[in-house]
Amino acid sequence: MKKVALLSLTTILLAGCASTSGESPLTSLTNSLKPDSEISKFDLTLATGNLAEAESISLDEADYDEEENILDDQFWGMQAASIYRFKKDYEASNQFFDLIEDVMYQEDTEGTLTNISETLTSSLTNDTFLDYEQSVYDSIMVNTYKALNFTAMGDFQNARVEWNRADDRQRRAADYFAKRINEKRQQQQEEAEKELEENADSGEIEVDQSLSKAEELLAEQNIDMSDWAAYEGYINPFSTFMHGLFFMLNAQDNSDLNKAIDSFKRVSEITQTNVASNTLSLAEDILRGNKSVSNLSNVWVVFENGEMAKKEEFRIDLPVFIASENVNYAGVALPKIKENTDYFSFLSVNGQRSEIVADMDRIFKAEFKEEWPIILTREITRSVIKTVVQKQVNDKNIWLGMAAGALQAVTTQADTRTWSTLPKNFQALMLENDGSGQLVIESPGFAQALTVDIDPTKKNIVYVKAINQSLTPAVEVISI
Amino acid sequence: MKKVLLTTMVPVILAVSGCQTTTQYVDSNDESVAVLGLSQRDFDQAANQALNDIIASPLLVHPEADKGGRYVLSIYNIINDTSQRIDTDQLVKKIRVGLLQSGKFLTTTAVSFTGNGPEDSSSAKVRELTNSAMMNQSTVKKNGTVISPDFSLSGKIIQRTNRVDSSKQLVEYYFQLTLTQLETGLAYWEGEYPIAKTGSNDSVTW
Repeated sequence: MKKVALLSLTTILLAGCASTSGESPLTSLTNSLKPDSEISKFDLTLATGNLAEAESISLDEADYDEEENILDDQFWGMQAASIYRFKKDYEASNQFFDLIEDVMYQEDTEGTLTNISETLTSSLTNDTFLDYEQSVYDSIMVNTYKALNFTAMGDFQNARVEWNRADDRQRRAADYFAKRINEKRQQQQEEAEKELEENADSGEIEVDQSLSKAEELLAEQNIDMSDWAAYEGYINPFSTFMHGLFFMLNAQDNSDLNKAIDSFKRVSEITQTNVASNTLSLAEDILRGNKSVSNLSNVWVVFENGEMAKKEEFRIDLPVFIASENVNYAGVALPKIKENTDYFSFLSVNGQRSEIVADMDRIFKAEFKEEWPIILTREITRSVIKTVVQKQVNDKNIWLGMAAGALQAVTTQADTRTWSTLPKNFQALMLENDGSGQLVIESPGFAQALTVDIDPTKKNIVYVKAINQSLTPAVEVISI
Repeated sequence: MKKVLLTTMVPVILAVSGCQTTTQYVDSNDESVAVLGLSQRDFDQAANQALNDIIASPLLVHPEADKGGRYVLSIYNIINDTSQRIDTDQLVKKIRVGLLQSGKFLTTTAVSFTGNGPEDSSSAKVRELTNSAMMNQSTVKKNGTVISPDFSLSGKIIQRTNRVDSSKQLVEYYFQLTLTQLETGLAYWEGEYPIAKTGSNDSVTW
């Protein structure tokens, strides 16, 4: 415990200098001794339709410092920014997303010292002690939402910048999964080995044996990730589709139209949807001069459907092989994925159904699968260290040993932080504008159809977000 | 023990080394301070090159230059097609100032064909004073005196980012500018000024 406290103290001192994100180690230390209830509380308030309370929880947890204009917790900042967006407070949403990008940048570039200190602290506690590290899909969605917010605000100059950023993040995604994740795994492996060497009885511990045993135990839990696969190039086709739509509808020159065409081609190939191929044909007609952007009056209905899958904690008893002793069993807490119910299925307008342009559950699972070996190695290494420390304490004093055992039990906790306000999937459909100025949008999950006013002479994007059946869907009409 | 040493020494080292950053002036020619994004130095460089080229162009000499004849320029739009939040007016301003000083161009602030309207709407508003009893009407500006532009400046700033290797990325910016002669609609002058930078690939360029 002294050691834990000392390590945490180091982290506090280090963190005091860098304005890093995430919970302060002191808060983490306290929180680690109780189950992370804020996430489930947030989920519950959203499920019961209490948006104001969900907003208040996320703001409290994000701990925004108005004076310094910094966010303490990136993860909760993302939840808060999403809620602001849902409420159409685009300015506040973008203010938070901007701050989140600052934190992401710090996470990407943070020094080795901070990393070591975080790992040391987490090695005796759990992953929730680590700053929330954004997933690749998080970072793409931050810029995508910012671009959509600016578009809704009519600020097309800044929207263009954000689309270029989202596009650059998509480019980096492929690079990250092709190369950098291997480096990360390797780095993780080295850190784990170093940890074990430094912690005690290294010669006696058989981590590999524990790891292979873990795989058997996981198989018993029916955790099979073999079918989980990312979209080609690890892209989020929704972001690519909306990128194309922006550059087509706001085209300043042929270069913009070519960008749009490239995006639609990619989405059309990946998703094989009519909405992507028909929008592609439209963009190609404009480039050839057969149609003009200024005379277009089509309608795109975009649907953010439901809630993305979540991480849930599960525990297994893992045998820790210590050569000189009998096998000790240690509890391991790991995250697993649980999908949410699809309440809405699709939208339909005049009998035409929306199609899925990006399955967020699929993107989420694919990324989780890539990170899984890192999460598993870290948790097992941690479990082995804790067990050895407990055994050593126990050898000296049985009462202290029991206390160490109890501490081990409460600090064993999986990191289940997931940006839960992202949807299960993104869908879209394209319509001709019939000039009536109104759309009737239906869904199997809606209690009643939505009647939406649109501009009969302009290009319209009707953006619908339905989180669950307790919250009224948010509808935004952007006429260009 | 090693760990205890580390945990106690690290904060001490940090405390001693100090972690506050002091504010300093930066010489705009000091190349040791560079960012992957666009900085004032990049704008200066692109604007100066563009200015020199415009001034040197034989197509942009006013026929009555020796009698003080100058062309009138209107600013259309410089599209920021990068990942950086930049104010393109910064670039335009440098070019405008340079052109004014060169004695070849004057810029109109009364005319603009972009969404935001003219840069300074006073030229139009001052004419609304013809009905004001307060005004000495002989001093109120008459209609038919505002000069229509001869040329329009438009352009685009483009960014291309590529990975060099796992630790390094290459960022290229292209400043593209066009001067359109409004009588004929022809581009009398065009310039492209690339700026390339390499830097860490740990994170994004903005």
